[in-house]
Amino acid sequence: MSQRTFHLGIDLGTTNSASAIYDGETTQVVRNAQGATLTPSVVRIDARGNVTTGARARRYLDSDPANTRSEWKRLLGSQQSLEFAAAKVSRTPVELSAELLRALRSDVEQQLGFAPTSAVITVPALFEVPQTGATAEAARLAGFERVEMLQEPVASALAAGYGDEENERPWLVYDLGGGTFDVSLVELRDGMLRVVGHDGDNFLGGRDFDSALVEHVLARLEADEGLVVDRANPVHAAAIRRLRVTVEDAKIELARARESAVILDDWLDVGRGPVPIDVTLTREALERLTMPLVDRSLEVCRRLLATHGIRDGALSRVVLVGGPTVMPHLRNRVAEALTAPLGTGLDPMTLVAQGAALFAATAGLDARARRATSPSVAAASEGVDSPSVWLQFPAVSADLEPFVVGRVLDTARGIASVRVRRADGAFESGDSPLEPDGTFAVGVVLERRTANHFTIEGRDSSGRVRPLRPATFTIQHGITIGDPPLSRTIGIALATGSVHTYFERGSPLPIRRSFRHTTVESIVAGDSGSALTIPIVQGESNLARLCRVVGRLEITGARLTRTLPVGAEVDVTIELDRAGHLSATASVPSIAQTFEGVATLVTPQMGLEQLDEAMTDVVSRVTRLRKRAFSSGDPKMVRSLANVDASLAEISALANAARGHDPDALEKCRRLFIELDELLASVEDAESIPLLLEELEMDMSSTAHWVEMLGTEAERRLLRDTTQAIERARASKRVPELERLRQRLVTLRSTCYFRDPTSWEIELERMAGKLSTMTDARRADSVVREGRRALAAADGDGVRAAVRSLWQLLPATDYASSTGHGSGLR
Amino acid sequence: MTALRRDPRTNPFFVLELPVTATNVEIERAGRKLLGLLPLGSESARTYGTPLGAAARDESTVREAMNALRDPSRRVIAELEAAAYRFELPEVPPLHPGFPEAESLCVLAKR
Repeated sequence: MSQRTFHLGIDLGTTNSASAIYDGETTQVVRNAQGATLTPSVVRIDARGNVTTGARARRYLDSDPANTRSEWKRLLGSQQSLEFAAAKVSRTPVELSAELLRALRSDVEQQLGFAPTSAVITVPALFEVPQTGATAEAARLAGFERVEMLQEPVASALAAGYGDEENERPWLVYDLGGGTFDVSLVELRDGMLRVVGHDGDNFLGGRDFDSALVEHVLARLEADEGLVVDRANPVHAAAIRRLRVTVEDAKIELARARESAVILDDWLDVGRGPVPIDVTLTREALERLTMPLVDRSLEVCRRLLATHGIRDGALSRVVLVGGPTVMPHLRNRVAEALTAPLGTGLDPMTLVAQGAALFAATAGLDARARRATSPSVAAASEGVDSPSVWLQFPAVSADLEPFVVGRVLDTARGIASVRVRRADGAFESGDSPLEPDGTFAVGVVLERRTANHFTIEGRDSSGRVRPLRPATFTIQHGITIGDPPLSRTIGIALATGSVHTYFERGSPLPIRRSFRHTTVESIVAGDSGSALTIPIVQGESNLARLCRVVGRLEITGARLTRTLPVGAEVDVTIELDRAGHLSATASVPSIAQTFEGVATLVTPQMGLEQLDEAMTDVVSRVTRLRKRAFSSGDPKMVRSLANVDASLAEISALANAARGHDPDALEKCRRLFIELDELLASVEDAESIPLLLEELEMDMSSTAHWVEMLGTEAERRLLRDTTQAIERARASKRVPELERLRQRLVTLRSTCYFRDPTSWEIELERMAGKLSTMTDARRADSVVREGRRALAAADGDGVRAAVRSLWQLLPATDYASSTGHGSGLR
Repeated sequence: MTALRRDPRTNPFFVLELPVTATNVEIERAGRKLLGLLPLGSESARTYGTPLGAAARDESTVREAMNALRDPSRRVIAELEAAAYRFELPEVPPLHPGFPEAESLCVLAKR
């Protein structure tokens, strides 16, 4: 008998959620108690403390907003709690997500007859570690024992590409959700789906379309009735929320109808009796009002295509995902602007959940796994007289000749080998002998694009057949996807204010990496007042201040057995699993101590007061940059600053809404502010391009020299590739990319340069010339003398060791710890 | 900062026991096989031979090796290193594990 596997995928959306099951052959979207495939992401708690979710809760969103909550997803990972006035309770975003996941889990149980214990849950591509970790915590609270996180665009890419044959041309996944926009460039090679590139806008989604319509209605009210709403007034803010819900329904209706009415009796009392709303929205108005938003999304698409050198007409298709993509004018505009046909036959509302279920199969995550150690281990309950075997096989394989591996548990029962047969008789393995520990590996052959059913049997040493438990298993041949990629670069902030990257964006998860650093200050043993801080940051900037701190490892003096001097070596290892769990270890070899654990932080909160102060600073930076842009006549700089006013106005409007007690507005405001800060930093970076290019010229010239002198053929090839990449980055003035490539040049140059033993002698003397500036001059002097002795004794290793020690003693005087999140390392 | 001195035996081609000419499909196949065997407690999967002696591997080592060979730039470096240790070991000097300030190299480069 075969142990059938079920793989569960959940799309935990801002507005709606969905789940899907893949049974090894087909994907099925799970229906909820109301028979719908979409469950609104809404939770209500009434006065008696009863919790309702989904469509039943959504009914009260309009009439009872104080006890009904939606759109908390943006708040995941923050400290914000949401109040339920009638029950006098508050719930964190994690707890609300857990309520929703519990409901979805129950729907799956109704359909399958068992409560799933494992699932793949999707998260937005730009979610950071705290937000992903919060989602995993919600899943745990909802009863899931094992979860993996997958970015939404990867899930939709997998679902959309699942039925594909090999196609040389890449394609786009255009995913416009409730609150975010993601676009992914996808290609299929060797049956392996790869997200080649990704871009997005964290603040563009269906809700922005709703906002445009709300603004339109409010403008009409002001013109017709002289009614001016004040967003800072909580009563008005609540009325706007009611209007938003009604407008959203009208928007959905306009996807099919030419007109839709927005009617709200007793909408808002402004002191002269309740003002009703009765406005007709037309599809033409919808198109006119939202086209700028569609164009904004297309700009992001063009940027992604340009980054990857994809020309017009080169895409094989565009797959649309998300509720707003059902709007006819959006579909037409996207197809026309990207000169590519739209993918057909795909449900934009459930594609993400389906992709998550397929990924669960690829990852071997069985929804009813009974063994925690190994998801695709098929343990059988039937045929108790036969020896048991633990089998590991891919539920889905792109490889036509994958391995099936396993371990026979009862080796004492005389099993010497195993044999595997395909049910259609077209393949049979030879006898594969068991290792002494009972393990085996058998290569099997699959038929393309179908579910391949196999039988497995054991044989004793005399060749007699011995049945095994389980006796059968199934492998579906199809497209798979590699390990899920990391959405944002992770590194540690250094005392210099820069970031040392541990995991680049796109690195497959899980991942672990170690680097050696040195301390910039001494930490006194026993002194709890002094501490070595290792801030873990996430973001794409090389500047620590522009990245978010997502965790921190602190080693106080109280934990040290001996004092750590300046320049002490610290080996830091960071690890991130697929559930968003971040851990760090710092090992200090000189005192033989290791420190573990990391506090994963909630997203830092910025209060309104701090925001006001920060805005003043931003406005003065904008003024300075704008003056510079106009005086230099740099059109790119002028263009970069063109949208700043709109951002400032949006931040100001959101801050106003936040004063009206809209917690989501404050969170969005904070994130928008950080993005604006990043934009200004990039413009400031661009100012430094001439100097950077000059330095780069010197680096290229010296690297070419040393690679020519001492490099290998592969290094010459790498130099050629790097030089070409620099030319591309120079043309597009991408400063972070130029800095990254410059680092690669320096690495290459150092590798070649230090291949010559004389280089170490020269470096020793150069360091000796800097003795007076070293952090510990006495120690440095001693190391220089050791190095010279080693030189005299022709001890190359000794010279190298001395030089490495001296590098760690170079001064830290230029460090600006305020920009390095208090880092104690370099 | 510097990368921790890496044991050359952790070269991804050594870890996956593949030649430097291995195709992407062969790399995935070899990696998946090991990732299946390791949780089952396979003794033979836990160790592997290299020109520099035997070494131990775990799931993390295997994943890292697969990831390295999926990245074209990292693969070039791994090919170079594996080829060097397989065929030219005596002539390859130790690689530099850290990088001094860029300005010093510029100065030296002009000498």
